[in-house]
Amino acid sequence: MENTADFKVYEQQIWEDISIYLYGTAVYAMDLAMLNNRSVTEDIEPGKVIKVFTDKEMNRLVLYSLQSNSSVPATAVDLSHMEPEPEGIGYWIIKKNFIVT
Amino acid sequence: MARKIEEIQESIMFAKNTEPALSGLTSNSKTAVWQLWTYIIATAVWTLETLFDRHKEEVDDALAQLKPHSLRWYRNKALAFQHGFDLVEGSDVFRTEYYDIQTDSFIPASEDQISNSKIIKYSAVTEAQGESRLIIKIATETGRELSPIPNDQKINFETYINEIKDAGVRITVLNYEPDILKLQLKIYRNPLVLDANGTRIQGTGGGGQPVKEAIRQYMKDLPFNGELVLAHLTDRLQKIEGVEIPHILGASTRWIDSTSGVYGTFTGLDVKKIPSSGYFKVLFADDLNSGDPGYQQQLENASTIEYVV
Repeated sequence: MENTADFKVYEQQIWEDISIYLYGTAVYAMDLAMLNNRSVTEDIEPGKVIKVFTDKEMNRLVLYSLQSNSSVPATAVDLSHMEPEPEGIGYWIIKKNFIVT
Repeated sequence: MARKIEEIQESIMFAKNTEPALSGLTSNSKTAVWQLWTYIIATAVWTLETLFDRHKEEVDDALAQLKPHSLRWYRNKALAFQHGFDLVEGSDVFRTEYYDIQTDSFIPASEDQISNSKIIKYSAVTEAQGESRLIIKIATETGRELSPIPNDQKINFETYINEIKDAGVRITVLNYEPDILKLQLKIYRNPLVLDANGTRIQGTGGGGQPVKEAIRQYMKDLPFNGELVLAHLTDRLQKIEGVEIPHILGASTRWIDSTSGVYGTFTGLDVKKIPSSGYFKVLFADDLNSGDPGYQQQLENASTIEYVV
């Protein structure tokens, strides 16, 4: 059994964010999702306590850079905050989103 | 097999270099916007490739589990046995409902009823040496310890196995009391940590007999029908704080003889042994109560630990 600890998820974090935040690399995203019996494409509720590995190899350079800037990766797309743009010929702008190829 | 993120990013870079329209992107900075986009795409592709790998593993596993005639199939079928339930007619799958006489109808069973009816908790299937026969070893769990299932349930289990088995396959079901493992240990202790009885003097949990606990835990960690290796047991004991040298003076086992139905005589154990019943039981002499009716017999089976400095 691998060593694990608890971790509280920040708002709008996806598994890749948690992996980068803890280990400095995204490659453990899948392992973290599987450890918690979740899918890697599933959203995680903010504040949820999940299990994380404590014995994974870290990329210290990335971690140092994140910590020195007090950065917390959180890149989930919140669809509820997205305003749907109106579509149609009346709204399209030539050469911007109305491109004839 | 999924490629690494770096490998995927390199292949994107290679494709980018062959595209004249993208020749304007020349920045060497690792954080240049176009470089970051290649990384994001590479990560997304890596996620997808890893998901494909997992999917393939799951499909392979499902195929391996479903393949008939394999030992694993028989093991899964043994574990799927539901005491008190009938099979769906013409199939090897149990009904999820049971017949009620009063209402003369089938009543769907609750999840609890189904899980309680699955009495076989451990199973291992091996082929007999020297003859064409399958040996199915089974055990259930009583009070967190492995134990055989009652005889009437064993008869039901055999009926079920005979119903679902492939034609021409001969099967023996082993539902025996555990093999007895008798150890004679000499533990060179650190007197600062362990007292003369092997009791922990201080520490988290306070008291307790770590050597006995470690032996019990080793037996518990051993898979059903798993091989007991004395060297591994010694390794486990070596890790205990306060144990300087764990020395196994002697080890022997006895098991239920298939012809007489009672325990045979003790046989010495040199290096390793797969238990005949599928699991071992260890009793310790100082845990026994001399007032018990079967005290003498238990004492005969009991392991002894001598603590020396």
